[in-house]
Amino acid sequence: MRLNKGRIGFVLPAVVFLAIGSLFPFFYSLVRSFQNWNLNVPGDKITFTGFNNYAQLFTSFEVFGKPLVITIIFVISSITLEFIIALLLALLISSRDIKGKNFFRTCLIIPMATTPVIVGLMGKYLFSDFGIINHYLGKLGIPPQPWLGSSTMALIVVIIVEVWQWTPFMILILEAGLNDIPQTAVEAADMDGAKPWQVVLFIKLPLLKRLIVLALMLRTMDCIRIFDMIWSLTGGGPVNATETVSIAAYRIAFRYFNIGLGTAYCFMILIITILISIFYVNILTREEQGAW
Amino acid sequence: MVGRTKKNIIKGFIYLILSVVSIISLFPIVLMILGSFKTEIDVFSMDHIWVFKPSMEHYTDLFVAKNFLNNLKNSLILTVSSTILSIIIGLPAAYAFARYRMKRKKDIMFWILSQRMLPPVAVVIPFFLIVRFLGLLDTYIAIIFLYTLFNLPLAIWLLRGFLEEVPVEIEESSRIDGCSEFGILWRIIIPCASGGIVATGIVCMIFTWNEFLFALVLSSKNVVTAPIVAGALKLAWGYGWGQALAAGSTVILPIVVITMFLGRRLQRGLTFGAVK
Repeated sequence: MRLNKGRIGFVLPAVVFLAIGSLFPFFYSLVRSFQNWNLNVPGDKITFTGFNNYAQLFTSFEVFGKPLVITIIFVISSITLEFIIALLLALLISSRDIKGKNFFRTCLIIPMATTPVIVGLMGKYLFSDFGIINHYLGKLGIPPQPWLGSSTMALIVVIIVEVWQWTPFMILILEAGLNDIPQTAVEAADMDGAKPWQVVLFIKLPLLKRLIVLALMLRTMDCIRIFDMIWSLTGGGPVNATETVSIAAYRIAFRYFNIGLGTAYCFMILIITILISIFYVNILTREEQGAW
Repeated sequence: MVGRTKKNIIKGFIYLILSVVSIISLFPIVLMILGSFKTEIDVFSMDHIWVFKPSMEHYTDLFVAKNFLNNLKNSLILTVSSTILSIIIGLPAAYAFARYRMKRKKDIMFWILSQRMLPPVAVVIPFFLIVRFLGLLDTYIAIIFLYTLFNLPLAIWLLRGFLEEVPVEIEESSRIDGCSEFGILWRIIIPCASGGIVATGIVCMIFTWNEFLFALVLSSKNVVTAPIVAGALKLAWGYGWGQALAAGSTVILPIVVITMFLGRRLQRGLTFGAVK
């Protein structure tokens, strides 16, 4: 059946909505980013400033460069850790007859569904100077660490909390993928005398490639977007050590009310996310065979 | 015989790992809920991690003095109305994407999914300015609109997957019987895919209930949601923590209950349809 005139009404409301949701912020940010406008200054005249805002973004490393580097470190280390842990666990539990698998899955889904702000709050509670992590480390003879007080440590804590919440996401996806691998392929390799690691490396992983790319894409995009968990865990501190681009943009726009610079910032974030999603979608469409 | 012992050891090892992972997953949540019933002194007292004298003081503070129920009500209104709206708008579109032939369908679907991945902070500044211009800051309608906008891509994406699984033959026979396109959607598709529609709705509700940034920027007094309160309580040593943990526990309680009962049915939605 073709999508003819009578049926266009089915998609029209949704498409209008989605177009507003994507095109409006894009073009609005683009226009505003060439203007000077500060909401903190009452009656501030909106003036055209050319590339001034963009120049501000790139002349000082502190404004855009540093948050970008922190975001990249955060995204790459979280996703690598999530992927490795998830792959090991998925290989361990897939296609094995294990009692209580459903209970285990439920335990995994709960962190994923938990409110990110509250996850940040829990992290702050557990990793505080007098918190339970330091308490248990003390029992092992390790002196208390200033988890959220030192720049490097704080970033590590943010990554740990992110890995805690979202590794389950990867486990679920990879395990489902592993379960779908035809048993015959694995058995054939076994017959030919392949060692277990060879089966994983040369049979299971290649068959999982599409799903792995998909999982990595969803996690990458979500990590770049992240705001609330870090906001309640560290607030971007200490001294901007955990300030990702989202938090930096928020601060510029809603603390300093510098709309011109804020929108230029957001426009850059949009461009970066769009480029990354094009990159992933290209790999996916090359791999594409199924409906996903 | 040797093989069997080896197998048992491996199995024991797997159970051990699974138990450790499950405990790690639940431990922070359990600790927060326990903490919410502790007195302010006990919250950080390591002698009273598991055994303590329970106190309801933080909950009474929260619900009586701070009127937290009002924030929960706001969250519920925003969550339910935007979810219903996104299903109503998304369902016909998902049906069209599942059934009708159209050009560049795959590209359109990826465009829709990519909407879900836009950084909220990049979207919220333009919308904040326009909502402010319209004088709609701190109103339900503005936030409901924005939540619908951000739920819609996920709703369409998931619903399309569920609708594709409805066998096409039933529709065809009713089409021959002269049923209109809308009638087919209403009388055939919706009843057949009701499980999937409900699952989609619940996943949208979870994500909306959890949302923070839009609510933070667009509300100031009247429509402040529960997560905002939980995230904004001032914390200091021996002060505020009990209340924050109580607010946090209250916010996640419905989510924990729902996932415990529906766990497996939500898998597909929470993984964006990657797990069938």
